[in-house]
Amino acid sequence: MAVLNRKNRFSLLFRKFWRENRKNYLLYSLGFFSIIFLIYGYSILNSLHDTFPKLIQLTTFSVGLLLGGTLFAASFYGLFATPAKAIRFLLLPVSIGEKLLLSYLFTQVIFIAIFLTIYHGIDWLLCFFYNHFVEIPKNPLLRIAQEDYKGVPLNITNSSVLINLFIFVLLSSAAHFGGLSFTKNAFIKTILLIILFWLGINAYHHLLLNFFLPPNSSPHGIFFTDSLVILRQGGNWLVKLPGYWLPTIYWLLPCIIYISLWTGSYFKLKEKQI
Amino acid sequence: MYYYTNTLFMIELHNITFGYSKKQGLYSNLNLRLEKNFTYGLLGKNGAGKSTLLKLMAGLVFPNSGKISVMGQNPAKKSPDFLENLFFIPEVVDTPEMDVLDFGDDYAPFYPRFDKELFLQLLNQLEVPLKNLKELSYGQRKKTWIALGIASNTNLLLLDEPTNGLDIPSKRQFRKIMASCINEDRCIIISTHQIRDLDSLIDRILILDEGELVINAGLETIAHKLSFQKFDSEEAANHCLYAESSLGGTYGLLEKNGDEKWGNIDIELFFNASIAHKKYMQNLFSSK
Repeated sequence: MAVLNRKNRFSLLFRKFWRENRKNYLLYSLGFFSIIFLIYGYSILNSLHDTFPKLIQLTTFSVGLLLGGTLFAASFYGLFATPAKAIRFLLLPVSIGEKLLLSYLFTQVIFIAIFLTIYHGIDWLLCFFYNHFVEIPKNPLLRIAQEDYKGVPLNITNSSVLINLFIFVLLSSAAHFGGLSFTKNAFIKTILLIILFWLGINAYHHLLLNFFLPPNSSPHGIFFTDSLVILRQGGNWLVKLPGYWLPTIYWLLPCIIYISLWTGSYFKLKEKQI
Repeated sequence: MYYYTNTLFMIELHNITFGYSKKQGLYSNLNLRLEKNFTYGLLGKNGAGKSTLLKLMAGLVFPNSGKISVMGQNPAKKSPDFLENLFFIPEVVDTPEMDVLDFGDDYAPFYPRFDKELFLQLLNQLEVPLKNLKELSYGQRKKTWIALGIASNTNLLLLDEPTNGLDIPSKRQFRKIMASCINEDRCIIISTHQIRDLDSLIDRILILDEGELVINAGLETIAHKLSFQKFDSEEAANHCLYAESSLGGTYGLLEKNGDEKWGNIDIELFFNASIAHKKYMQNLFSSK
């Protein structure tokens, strides 16, 4: 009796999934990137006598990445809306971990690799088009801003791009979790939940900070940015956060949220009932 | 790897309580033991919980309380070695847009005992054209699933209303194929409300009603305990445990009193009698 090892089993699952969905994915990708190309391209056409539309460049990248990524992640488990499809998926002799790895690869790795590659292609093409038709103005005053008349493709190491990638990773993981939690309208419900969560966290922080820091002892003066002064009976108390605190909280919290979302997805998938 | 121990019972349900909502329970303390080497016919009215019982066995829904053991494992865990020995064909099937043979090739490696030759043979017998699945009718796609399920050679084969969507010649062919695929390691459970489709195919009957298991009996036991007779009039059938009239006459069901000869079993009549006289039939078939 042939026994499949895990590596073989996963590659078979991947192959099966890809063969079944490639047509849809290729079609959706074509539509998705056409929209990005049209919006970005239209703004380039409008800027042939103007500066390079850097804002549009970054916006199409950000919105495309975040909206496309979350929509894709939320709809990955759209198969659960059709019981026959759900049964076919759940009863395939593959472990829950391998099924989750498949969705992780598609929503977190393959999507981003394809998005970056194709977006870079569109970006490069439109920058080339812009640079070909737009000359740096001869007016010496405008020549000062000559960098604004040059189309430069987005650099992946640019901090704006990195922040977007960082937000994408979190949002798409939340959308993936939402896709497993809600059978119908997963995307809308997840977005609403994220908004509610965000508002709730802010309200909670507001209440908590009011409790710890009464309004008359709020941060002020020269310590406002990096320290807190709390007025107490008998004098001032200085609260100074350690230097490593900001980068730690900056990375630690999202990492905890990210791991929690994928752990939650594992258990959601494991406990999925039809 | 397949770890199923060679126990007598392939499926054991112990005190299962289940409901899709807390207010509306479907099963309460359901107990059931099913053996290998049998083809079970799971019968019941609409909403009796036939499909849900199959889903419980496949690990697609989880009981609120109680214990289920299928091939020695908890189906809710859905471990690969459990799943590669189980094939479930739902009432409504779904097929991707791909060639029939590619579809088979994609599934085959996941089932260690998959028999490709048998798959092709079954497709031929069921007259499924080797084309893209999107070009096939619903019945042809269902037959593709049936061929795949049988060719996978799993020890447990669950079929939910398999004859729905099949034409009359295909139903006959289906019965023929199913009769040939049972072996000593295999257990087949067929849920249906089209009892006539399963005549001559099943060897044990399970009847569910209002979330309760009314009957779990072999055809031999039924034939041993009950006699199915035809009467000239309804009056003549008055002494029967249960009787019903149709265009062909009045058919009645009687409890046997001794060593009467075994006769043919009318499964539909037996089903109706079991629903109409639930307690009586439960007592009759629970006594040893």
